[in-house]
Order: sequence, then structure tokens, then C-alpha cells
Amino acid sequence: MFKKEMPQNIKNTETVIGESVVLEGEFNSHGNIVLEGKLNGNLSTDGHVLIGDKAEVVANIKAGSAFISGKVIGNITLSDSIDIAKTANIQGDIKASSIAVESGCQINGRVSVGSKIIENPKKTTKQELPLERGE
Amino acid sequence: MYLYIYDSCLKEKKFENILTKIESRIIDLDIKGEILRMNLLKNVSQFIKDGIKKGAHTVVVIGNDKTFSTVLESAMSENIIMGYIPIDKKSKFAQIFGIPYGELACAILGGRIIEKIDIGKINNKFFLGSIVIDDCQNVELKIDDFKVRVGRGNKIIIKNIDFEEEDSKISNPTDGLFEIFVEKSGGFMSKNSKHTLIKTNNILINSRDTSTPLIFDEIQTINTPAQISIADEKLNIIVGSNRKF
Repeated sequence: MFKKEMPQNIKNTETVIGESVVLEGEFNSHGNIVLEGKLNGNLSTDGHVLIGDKAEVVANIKAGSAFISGKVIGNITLSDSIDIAKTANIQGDIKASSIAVESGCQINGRVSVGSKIIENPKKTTKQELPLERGE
Repeated sequence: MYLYIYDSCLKEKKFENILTKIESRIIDLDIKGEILRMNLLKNVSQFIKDGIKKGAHTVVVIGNDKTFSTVLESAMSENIIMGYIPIDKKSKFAQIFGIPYGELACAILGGRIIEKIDIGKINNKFFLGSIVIDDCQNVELKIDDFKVRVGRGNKIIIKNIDFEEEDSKISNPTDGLFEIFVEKSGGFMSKNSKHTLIKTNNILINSRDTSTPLIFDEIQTINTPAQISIADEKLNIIVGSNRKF
């Protein structure tokens, strides 16, 4: 089920990058991250990542889980779940253990959920993309 | 033995009454010591050095947060315990340390609850509170392996120990980290506005064009480039039981 609200645990945030901020380079953290500004480089954390709808990210992202509603150019690798909002525009591969996608988002890349991979789903049309976990 | 450093403003008539009460309370509690009344000709560092030779263990600032920050540099160099008697009811440091206004602070001195807290270093100078960069359009912060730039119309605040409002959470002064905030210049930040928060213990600040002034503890200025870090030394400060950390 797609969550319209950010997860409760990401509200306990370690790092917030606001709209007026540009970040360049390797950003490594252990806590939750909210990104509303721009990031060029790579992002890595054990916690949750929230990419806001005005965010512009050109980076590979490695995290525990993610909620994406902005633009991401890069691969997203998560040990847990990903929620993709209708305003999201992702150009890159996604790997996660589970996924929830809202109608209207754009994904250009391979989506791998568990062991299942979907090739280039250009644009979703259903309210919930019924991706199942692989074996 | 205690060393008392009086702010130069205490010679004004309006402080006569409160100073009399403070001095009376110090005698009652038997925590007397030597006094230095600050002015341009008096050397605070030498006063503390001489006091330590005579057996002084604590330097007490009677004044406001600016006085405290001014004395901090000398006290840190000598690794002496600091105490504070605020004569400004809005003192942020006093609120953080749980120290009441005026003569009531003397009981806190007598209680001698001592905490070790982080002190920031900007180039070779110590600071306790925060660093403000008002004009940050040309400024770049280098932190670990990444750089941070901020758009026009914002200011950067690097906090060691500080808080926005009386009841708000303070930056933890014992976690070995600064908190970096970005907020709109000249505007009041509402509780719902999104601001930037990054925690780190080491920052290099550079300007892309001309040198940019950095104001620390609201009284001193250093121009970029500046290296900011948590000092190896800790501040030993006498605090009250109502401290905010």
C-alpha cells in the first residue's frame, strides 16, 4: 500500500537538506535524511531517506528505505522498502525488498523487488503497482 | 579561592543595587575571592594566571553572555573551572546552564555541580555559543567528503550550544558535534518552516570570491577561510540543577 505520509520514524531526522541548499560529494550518514534541495554525488545511510518533491538528486542512493517524491538521476539500492509518489521522476535502477508506487510517477530503469526485475516501466498507470516479492 | 571578573557595565548606577546583593551573598556563602573590574587596560589572562599561582580554582564572570565569551578564551587557556553570575535576565548561557539571575546564582556557585561541555574552535580562538554567516552567497562549507553551498537570502548558523526559544530543545553541548542550520536572513523562522540541519565536528569555510566575515558568540569576527572544530579541551562549568542538558 502506498503511504501518502512519510513514515513516522523518518520524522526523527538526523539530517535535513533544505530547498536553498546544494550539496556536492559523498554524503554518508547513519541516521534518517530529508532532502528538499539539490545533491550531486552519492548518498549513503543506514536509515531512511526522504526525497522531497522539489529535490533534484544526481546521485546513487544506498539506504535502509526511501520515500521519493522528487527527481532522482541515479541508482537506488535499499535494504528495505521504497515508496514512490506521483510527483517522483526516477532515472535509474531501483533495488528494494518491497515497493509501493503511486499513479503518475515516472520511472526509467530496472526495478528489482526481491529477485524480481521489471524492465523499464516508463510510466505507471495503476493506483498501486502490484509488484510482488520474489522468492 | 575564587576569582571574580566584573563586566565594565557594573560601574553604572543601575547595577549598584544588584551588585551589592551579589557581594553580600558571596560573603554569606564564604566564597570570597579576588576581583578584577574589566576595562581596556586590565589584562584578564594575566589576572587568571596570577590567581592560579595563588591557589585559585574557579573564575566567576559577573556580567552578560558577551562578558562570559570574552573571559572564556583566557579561562580555556588556563584550564580553570568557570562560574557565571548573570546580570542579564535574557542570558542564553544562564538558561542553558540552569543559573538564575543575580544574587540567586551565588547558591549555584556554592553547590559546585561541575559539567564538562564541548567548546568550539574557530581557527585558534574558542567559542561557546554559535557562529553566524549572514552573507553566505559566496561561502562554501567543506564537511568530510562533501561541500555545502547555500542560495542568496539565507544565513548559516553553526551551533555548539544554543537554542531558538526558551522551551525549545538545545544543541547538545556534550555530543562532540556542531549543528548547522540554514534559515532565511532577517526573517523569523516559523516552527513549520523547513530549515537545514547537518551535524558534524569539523568544518572548513571558504569564500569563492572575497573574504567573508564570520561572527562568533555575537561579539567577535573572523574572516574566511576558517577551520571550525570541537576543541580537544572541555570547559568545566558550574551549573544548576535546572540546566537544559
